[in-house]
Amino acid sequence: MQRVPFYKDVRVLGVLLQVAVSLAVLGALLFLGYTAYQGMIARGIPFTFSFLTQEAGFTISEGKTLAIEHGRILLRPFQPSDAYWQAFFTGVYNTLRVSLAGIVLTTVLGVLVGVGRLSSNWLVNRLAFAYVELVRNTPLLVQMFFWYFGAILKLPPVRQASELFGMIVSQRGLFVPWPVPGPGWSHFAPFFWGAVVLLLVGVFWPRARRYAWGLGALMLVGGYLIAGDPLVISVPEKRGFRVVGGAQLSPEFSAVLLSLVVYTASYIAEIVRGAIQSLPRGQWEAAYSLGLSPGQTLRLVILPQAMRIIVPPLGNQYLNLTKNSSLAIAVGYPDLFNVYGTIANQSGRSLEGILIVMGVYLTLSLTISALVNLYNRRVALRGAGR
Amino acid sequence: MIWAWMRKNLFNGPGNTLLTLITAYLLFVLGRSVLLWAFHEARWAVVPNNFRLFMVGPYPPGEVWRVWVALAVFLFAVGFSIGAVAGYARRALSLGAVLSLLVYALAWPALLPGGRMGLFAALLALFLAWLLGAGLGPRRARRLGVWVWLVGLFIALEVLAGVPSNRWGGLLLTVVATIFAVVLAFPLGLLLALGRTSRMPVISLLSTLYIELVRGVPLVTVLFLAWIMVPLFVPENFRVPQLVRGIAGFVLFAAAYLAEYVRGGLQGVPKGQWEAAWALGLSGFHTVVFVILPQAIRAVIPALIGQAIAIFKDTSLFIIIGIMDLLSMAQAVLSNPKYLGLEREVYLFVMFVYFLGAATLSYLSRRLERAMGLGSR
Repeated sequence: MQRVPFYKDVRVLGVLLQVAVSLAVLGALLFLGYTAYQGMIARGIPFTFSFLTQEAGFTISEGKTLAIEHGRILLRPFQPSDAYWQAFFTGVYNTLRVSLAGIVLTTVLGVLVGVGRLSSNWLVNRLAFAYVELVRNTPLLVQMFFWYFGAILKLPPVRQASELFGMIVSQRGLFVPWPVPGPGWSHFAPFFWGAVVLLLVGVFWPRARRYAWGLGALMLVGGYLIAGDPLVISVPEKRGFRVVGGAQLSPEFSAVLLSLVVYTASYIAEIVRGAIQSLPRGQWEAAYSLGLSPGQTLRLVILPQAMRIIVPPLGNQYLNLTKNSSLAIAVGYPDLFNVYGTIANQSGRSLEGILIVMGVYLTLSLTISALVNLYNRRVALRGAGR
Repeated sequence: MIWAWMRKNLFNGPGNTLLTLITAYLLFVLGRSVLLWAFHEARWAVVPNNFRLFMVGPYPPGEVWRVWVALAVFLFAVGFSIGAVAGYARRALSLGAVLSLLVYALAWPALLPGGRMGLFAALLALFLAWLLGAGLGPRRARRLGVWVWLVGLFIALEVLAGVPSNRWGGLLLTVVATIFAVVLAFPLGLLLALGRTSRMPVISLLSTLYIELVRGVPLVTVLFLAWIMVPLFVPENFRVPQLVRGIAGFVLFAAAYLAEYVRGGLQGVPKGQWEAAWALGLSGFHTVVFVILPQAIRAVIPALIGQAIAIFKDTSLFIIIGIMDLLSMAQAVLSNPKYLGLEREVYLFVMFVYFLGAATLSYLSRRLERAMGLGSR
């Protein structure tokens, strides 16, 4: 057999190509890095992260930061005398706050609208359709502006604000009833955290779930009996121009949360609808012929199967929501990206800062997708995908 | 008859009746206040008064004819493609003509300099090209299509560039940025997808790394990075136009997403197609270009258009890096003391424009899907 000359051998060529590409990428990165470095030196701002420990000197309107006071690590509001890294921490805190709240609320709304899209009720069906089409076809940022400048800031000031279900809806934000630690909290706390641990044990270890959750419930009841009222609901009340009690959701937070929830829910609705529609009609018919009601059918037969299809794209939407919270800069909610903007302005460290910001978002993304994968493995068919 | 329909669709059973009544009541309350606001309180004059600003931003009024020429060239390419894909499609053609007449009859385009003439020319170009594309027949028209688009975009850009890009704005800038971001991101996305599916470990690793890295961070941060980094790479005295920096960020970002869609398509091509192509003696390059990619891309066209829509909507983020797109123009109008407090009117108008664009694109995508017989083959 004739030997193939080496320059025509696919294997040799493959290796050569890979070496060439890696060298090219490496070279390009080095070149870009070097030019950027030189450029920064030429502009008098050498690349360094040492600014992180310097004093920030600006205020952040909401959120908490990590601080060490009197040898204790605690969370407290950010102060201008804190360091830049603490400002970053506050940004991360705020991003997490709005993202977590958003993920919970948007799931509820999205599932409702998605089921509404399939309702046999014509009015509900069309309404859900109109909602999805309108929201999906306009940019999130414009919606955010609309909610903030066009809706929330147009609400009446506190004095004339309307009260709904114990909430106060005003220009200054949304005031909601909020549980605060009551007299028995300090004795109740160990029971509470124990129950939380047991809840998590149950979530991730299905076989022990019954015992773990049962024990958790027992602990809560026992703790309540021993310690007395652990939580008191604080209801907001109007006092002149101010509101006392309850929890305040700032107008910025409300706008960001509202727009993220409304926007993402339209995508989740489509995911839910697609998943439910993809199930064979026979599943519905079989459930009906067994005498299940439509509600029971949905809850016991359809949704558990649809979950397998829903979970991966749903996780993607959670990721999108978290990433989209970076648009909060547009309405002045101090999320990570917004805080970064201030830091970059103050310290001139835009490149270093953006690398930190990207690193944080990347970590968040990887964490969320890891959690979703973990959950997905539980709802997936046994043996599927293996 | 209507009673039967209502009984079947709205009042079949007590639960549904209750649902209908509650929904109808809520809709009534909401609709009433919205309509009252829209016809009594809202001061819509802000929209026609600033129409030029919304459409072309600070583009000099005397030069707006350039926009019309560019629009005509662009619509020519659009019409040619429609004709090439759908043929005469008499119903769609007549419907389009009626709609165009309607658009023409409505007064708003006249608010732009040269509006009547320009709009007429642009619509004419659309229909002439449609007829031309249909007349040539699908085979020849499709082969010519790529060239029509390339030459058309080039001409349109050249005409527009008679005014420096820092004076482009409004919807014009949004559309230009969208088109260029899509056109430039597509080849990069293709390469990344091929790289990720490649059997060469180094190439696949690098592509995967890039894709996952970009997909893990928000678009704003990529835009900002491009914004900060690009000037560092060029000589000090050379200023990169803002628009170019913005588009660069978009291309870097969108390519990663496009790559994932194309990869989905690539994975849907049966292995036998590769083997058959090799058995026929095609080289690796020829196999990819003539056998694999056409099938892969055909399968993911809806997803690709979806990505184009996403880019169109995402250009609104330009406001954050200070480029004067449609949304920034809205902000500019609102900062004028004359229009203080008209946020609702202005943002609703901006939403309407975006909605029109995005809804049209997704409608075209659905038609294209059907015309190409996707899902039925």
